[in-house]
Amino acid sequence: MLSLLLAFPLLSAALALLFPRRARDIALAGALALCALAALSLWSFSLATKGFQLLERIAWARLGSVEIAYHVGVDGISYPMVLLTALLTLVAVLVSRREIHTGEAGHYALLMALCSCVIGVFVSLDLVLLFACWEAVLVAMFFLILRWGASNRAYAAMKFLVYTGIASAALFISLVVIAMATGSVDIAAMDLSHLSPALRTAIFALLLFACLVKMPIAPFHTWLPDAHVQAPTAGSVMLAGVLLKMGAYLLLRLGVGLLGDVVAQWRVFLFALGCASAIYGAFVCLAQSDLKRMIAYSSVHHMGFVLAGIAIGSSLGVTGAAFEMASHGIIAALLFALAGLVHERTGTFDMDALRGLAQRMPRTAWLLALASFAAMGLPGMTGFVGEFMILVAGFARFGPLALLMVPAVLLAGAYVVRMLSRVVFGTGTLRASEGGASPLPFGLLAAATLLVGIMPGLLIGIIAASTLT
Amino acid sequence: MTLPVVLGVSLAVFALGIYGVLAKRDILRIAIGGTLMLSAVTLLLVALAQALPQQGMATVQAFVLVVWAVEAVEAIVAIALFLYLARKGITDIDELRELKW
Amino acid sequence: MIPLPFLIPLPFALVMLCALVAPARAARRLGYLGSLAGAATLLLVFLSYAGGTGTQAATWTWFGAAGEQFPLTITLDALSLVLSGIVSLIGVAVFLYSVGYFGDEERPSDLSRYYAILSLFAASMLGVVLSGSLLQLFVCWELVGISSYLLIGFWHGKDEAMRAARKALLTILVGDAFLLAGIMLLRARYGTFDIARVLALARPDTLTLLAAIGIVVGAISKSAQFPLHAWLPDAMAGPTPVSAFLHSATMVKAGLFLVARMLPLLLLVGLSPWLAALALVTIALSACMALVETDIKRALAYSTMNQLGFVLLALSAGAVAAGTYHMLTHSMFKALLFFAAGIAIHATGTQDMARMRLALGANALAIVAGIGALALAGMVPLSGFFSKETILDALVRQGNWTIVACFMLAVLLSAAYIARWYLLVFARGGRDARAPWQMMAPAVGLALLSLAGGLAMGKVFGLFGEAAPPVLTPWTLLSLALVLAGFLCTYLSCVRGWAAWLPGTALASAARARFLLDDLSAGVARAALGVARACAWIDGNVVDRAVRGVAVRMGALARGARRMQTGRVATYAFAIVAGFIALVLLLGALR
Repeated sequence: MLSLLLAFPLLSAALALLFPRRARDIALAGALALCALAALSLWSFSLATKGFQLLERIAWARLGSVEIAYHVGVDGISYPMVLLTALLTLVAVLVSRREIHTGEAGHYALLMALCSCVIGVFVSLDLVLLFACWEAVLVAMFFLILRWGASNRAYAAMKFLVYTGIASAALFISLVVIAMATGSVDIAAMDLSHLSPALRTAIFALLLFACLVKMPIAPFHTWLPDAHVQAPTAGSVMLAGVLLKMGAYLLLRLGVGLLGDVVAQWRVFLFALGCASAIYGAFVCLAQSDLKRMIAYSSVHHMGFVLAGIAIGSSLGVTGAAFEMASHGIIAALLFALAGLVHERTGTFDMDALRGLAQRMPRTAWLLALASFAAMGLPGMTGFVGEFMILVAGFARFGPLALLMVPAVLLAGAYVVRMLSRVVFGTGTLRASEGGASPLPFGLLAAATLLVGIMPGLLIGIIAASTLT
Repeated sequence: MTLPVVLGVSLAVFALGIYGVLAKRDILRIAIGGTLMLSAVTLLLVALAQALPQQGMATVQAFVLVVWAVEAVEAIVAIALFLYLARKGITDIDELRELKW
Repeated sequence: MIPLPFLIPLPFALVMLCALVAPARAARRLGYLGSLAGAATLLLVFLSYAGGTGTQAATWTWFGAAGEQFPLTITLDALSLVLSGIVSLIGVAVFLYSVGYFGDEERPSDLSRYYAILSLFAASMLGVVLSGSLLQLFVCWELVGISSYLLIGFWHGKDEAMRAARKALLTILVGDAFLLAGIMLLRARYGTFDIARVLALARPDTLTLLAAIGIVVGAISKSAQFPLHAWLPDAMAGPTPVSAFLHSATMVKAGLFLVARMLPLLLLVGLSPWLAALALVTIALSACMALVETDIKRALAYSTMNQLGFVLLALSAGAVAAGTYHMLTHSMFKALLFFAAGIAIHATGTQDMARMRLALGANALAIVAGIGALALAGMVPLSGFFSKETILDALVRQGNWTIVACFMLAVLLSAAYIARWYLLVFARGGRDARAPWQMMAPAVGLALLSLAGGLAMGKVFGLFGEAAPPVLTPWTLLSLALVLAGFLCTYLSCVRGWAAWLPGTALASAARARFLLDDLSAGVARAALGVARACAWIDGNVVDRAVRGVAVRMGALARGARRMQTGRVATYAFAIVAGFIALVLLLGALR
């Protein structure tokens, strides 16, 4: 089942390259098929199992005593990410249909390959496979930004590649150390408890650095705004929606899962770092005047919350973090997709020029308002549930120290209000029309936000099917 | 001939060859310097061969013959290169900078 | 099977859904639908309460995670009954009024949006007042705040309205953050969201005190008490039905409801004197500002602040029944006054009282407005008189004579400012006000209720299990005298022109400048923005500079290394020789 989920996008990518003129439709078909497969896999997923499910394993090679295999499986933490990736791929393809008119074959091929590799990161239970997919994601995103990005794309793409590449190097070193120390690269069966504390701390430090850059957490976040502003809309959707979650996922899977006691030692520090990053990201967000940059910094803010949730470490904290990962994926994707539509119709992302959007493009503006309220954590939408769980867990674990999280919540409201009054409401000299835009990608995401926000039980049930919660 | 004398001569010629390669700017002089270095080495080898047993002597002889063959070919290529460059009017090695970054 | 109490917000929720999908032609009729929903809600409230006596609770687990429960609980007791009654009753009036208020210049899609958000507000407000769990309280509290924002900013093309909406939401969000902190602290300390259990388990320790402070700040922001009050007068930029519903009758009561609901906790940690102090400052400031205000709606906004201060004062003395009763009467006469104001604005085309000229006389509008004004002042036999007396009784029984004296002064001032309001609008001769029946009927209805409201005193107190205080006491007569004195003062200064030096005093100027408190809140906002800009500067010039610096260093390093490739054969030859010698030496050293 999982192999099908991995293979279908790659197949679409290959077909898109082979038939350049039909690339758009091939990609759309592939994305739809992927969504259908993902929906089907829901039936096979058992909510009661606490370990890894839907396992598949094919032994591949042997390096010394280390056996490398194609080993995939999901549990409660990675499965929502897989579903999210499928949904966002569909959204990305739909958004690209409107926006990309040159080099379509390459674009859709890269997009589908990216999708496949992202799913690969989430489902691999073999460290080598995981790293291979991780790197492939970097390369695919690099080309997406470089070829189809905005005016300063070369700088942004290079910055993205090198910065996250350095993070990958740290990750690689830690993987090598793990392989050498334990003689195995199988995540499902890995046990690091017999290693010396110094070694475990070193591994965790390297891993942490890689994840902090990827998530991103201040002060290692500055690659994100440039990457987002210059990337094409589909790239932004995937970047904010799933790529950032790869870092959080790795921290959960390897950090909390295998090095739990090291995480426990670093708990307060990580929590404070997460809160600080959230507050800092929100402040910087408040001062932005470019719409896409603002949404990028709001991602920094939300991922700070996710780190705080992971640092809390309790079952509720991890559940909240995993929920927030999924929820932010949907919300950020919706925001970027809407921003892309706005740019397409008005030609600008500048918030001052976009004033009074609600009068020219009412449906878009109100959807943007809805998405912003979701980002702010308004109850009735997904953002609230995840944040609330993390807050409860934080106060339960840290008591008054958890008050650090509250300014972050307030600031989220502040930047949302500022954005709304600058962009959506008010009077302006904007000239734009929204006719003819397909509501499908936005409708899908908005519906997901509302549904999961009003009935979070199903998603929480899926997340509970993991040893970490 | 005693060994120290040959050693001294060989080193002197080698040094002369290095001086020619490094310090001269005329391409022909550099080529001559290179040849000098090779000759010095072969001289030294032949001189040292006397101290070796039969087997060693044969190895040295074979080695030196190979070196001469290579040297001959190298000389031909060098001369050809020099003639080509001379026809272009280039005699100063500093004018050859194509491999610069 | 969903318990009956959970159905209470349902009628308004249904109206919201209808408004979202209704065709354009039907938009105007949504108002009637909303009124019906209000009536249905009122019926449901009575049915739910009649189903049992005393306090009831119904819980539904919204979601559970990691072994923790996140429940939504509905509590039906005296407090929630009265307040949900207020919401549904005023809701009936406001929806009907809206039909007449919005003329043909509004687009049907805008009207649908208006009714949808208004219904959302009503449903969430009911959620707030019925909540027995802190989680539900917070969820509905947030929804109430957002609907207020969207309603104040209904005419989102108007910059003034959007500024007001933004100010309101930001102030409320600050309060929300404090409330969230308070709820979280309580959850961490007592392990439950259930309000009844928290109140039962409460102990006066530091965490609980912090939580109580958080709750109070949240309540203050919603109820526009000092110092988080600056948003209320500006919120008058929204449509008048919104001002009547949210910003006088219901939403601003939410904060006071929270105080009332959590009162045992607040009194336990000793916040009573602080609440009283806040209430008194609010009363004083708002009375002064109401006396100098020239905009018809803003004056009423200040009077709302003032009356809510009365309620807070009563609550600080522990008199929940008295406070709730005053909330009931206040919502009726305040909504009435706003309805009248709306009709006046429609008739004269201006909001500036100085320019209004409406006829005093047997004009229906003047009569109903007069009833409202008398009720607010606390004149017998209107409802406001009775509710004020209950507050006075509670304060007297508490025994703090400073507070009682301040309260008496406040009674005088409130009579004065409402008389001034009435005189400015109605007493200067002019034309009659014509209004569609949809606007007059609710006003008349509320006027009748204000006339009869005193009869409900016994009932309301009975719900709380208390006896209504006696009506005819020396204190009562004293306060009546003060009310008349207030009227007299206004008559003398506004009509006769006595004490013309009063507007020139420092106090008056300070009041006109709103005691610089508006500027204070604007300053806080600007400071926050300044911090944001500083952070953005740091991000670009410090953090990113370090990152770019690494890249620049690497580039410099690479350029330096590049210089090895000179292209000169001599250099390469030298490198070969030198390298070889180095290698030989190295090998020799290693051996």
